[in-house]
Amino acid sequence: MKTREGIGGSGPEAGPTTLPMGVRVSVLLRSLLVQAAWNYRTMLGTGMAFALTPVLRHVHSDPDELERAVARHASLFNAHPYLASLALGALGRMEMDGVDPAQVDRFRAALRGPLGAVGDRLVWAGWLPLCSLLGISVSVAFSIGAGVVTFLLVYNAGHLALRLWGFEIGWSAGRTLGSRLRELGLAREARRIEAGICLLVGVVSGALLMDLGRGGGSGLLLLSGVLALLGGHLLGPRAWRPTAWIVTLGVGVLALAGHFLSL
Amino acid sequence: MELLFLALVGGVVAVDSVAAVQSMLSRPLVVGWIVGMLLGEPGLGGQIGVLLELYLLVAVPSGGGRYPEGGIATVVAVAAATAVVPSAAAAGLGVAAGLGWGWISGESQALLRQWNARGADDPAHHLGVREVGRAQALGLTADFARGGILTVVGVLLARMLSPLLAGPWPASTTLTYALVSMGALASLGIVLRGVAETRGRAVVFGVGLVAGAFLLGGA
Repeated sequence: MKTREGIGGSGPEAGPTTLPMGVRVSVLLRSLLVQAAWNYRTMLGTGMAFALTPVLRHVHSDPDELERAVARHASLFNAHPYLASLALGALGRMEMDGVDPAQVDRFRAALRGPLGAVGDRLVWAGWLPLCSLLGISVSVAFSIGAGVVTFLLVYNAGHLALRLWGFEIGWSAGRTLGSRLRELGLAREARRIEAGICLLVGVVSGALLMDLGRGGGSGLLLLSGVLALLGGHLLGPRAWRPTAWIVTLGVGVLALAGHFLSL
Repeated sequence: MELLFLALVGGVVAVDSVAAVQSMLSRPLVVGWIVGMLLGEPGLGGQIGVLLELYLLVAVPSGGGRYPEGGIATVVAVAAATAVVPSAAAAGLGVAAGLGWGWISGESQALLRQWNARGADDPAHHLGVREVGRAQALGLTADFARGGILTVVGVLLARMLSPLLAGPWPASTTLTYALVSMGALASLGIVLRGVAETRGRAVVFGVGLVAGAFLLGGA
């Protein structure tokens, strides 16, 4: 182990243990591929071991020790892919501090649930729909190109910032990451994002309904649109699959009807 | 040559959707516009991209769940629609093709995940530095190939079937667009249910609704 000096007896999280910039950049770049070998047995395990390898190489000069460390980190792990950087930071720091492997494994197992749940709410149910609806609003107001560029720029500014921030927080917190996560109040941020989603769902719904209203049919199309919006709201996620089926079947029925009518 | 380009786009968006980066280049909003430009119909491509984006707002790449994969589906959707331009059927056939192919694409992703699992976590199968690197490279390559192949098959099928289905289309462009918009509105309602928990949120939604109707409606 090369880098345990300097930690002293003041505890693993006491000092600013530094990681060379090259190693840090390498971990962050590799973390972009954390789901490359996603599978139903170890989920993100292989990707975590791959992303953490630069730190493990830095810590373990003995090849056998390195192989054992990589194998340990290739075991079952799951998290939201962007928040996996929090785990990478914390696990890298624990490896560097020479924490007992059994303790690292227990810590790793304890992180799995929270990082998945928080990430799903913050990103998949929050940041992604917010940026997507923003992009669609800009598309409708200006042009599709402007909407696409806005979506990609805003989304990825948040996405990349989250990955960078996650690694830094994880590295500074080490094994205290659990309590640090509670202090960070990510759920509060998710609630703020949800308020923005409410506004933008309104904007896009308003635009679509006006479009339908101008389509003629004595307001029948507008009324159908309002009912579809309400139906989705009342039934929730279970309405999604039937909706997709109904629309697909509707298009199929129109195609068949056209053929019969032309006979 | 065009099919090769589309296969490349399909491979890239397949990889971006889960395996690498997740920059959301693979979202229908982006793919629809890009493929629309490649096929000479950026407006139609963008319209289908927006509609499929709204449908798939609630189908996100979360954990090990099975969900329709939007990127490859949108390539196929735009190919299906552009094959029948200027028919009134274009948007309808495009969205329907996208929804159907999204499920097939999602199922193929589940198969890839099973394939990726071979040897993982098997005590007899040592995972060292080299093995981990190889598993990553194989996973990425297989995902890229999956995207390319599914795109080529989907585009060829779409171009063969679309003109047959659109031939004597009985509905106007407005009515066809209205049909596919209903699904998008239902999807927006589902998103709203997940976030509008308080009266304050309902007011925020109402403000957005009025603003959208008067500022963007018909834009």
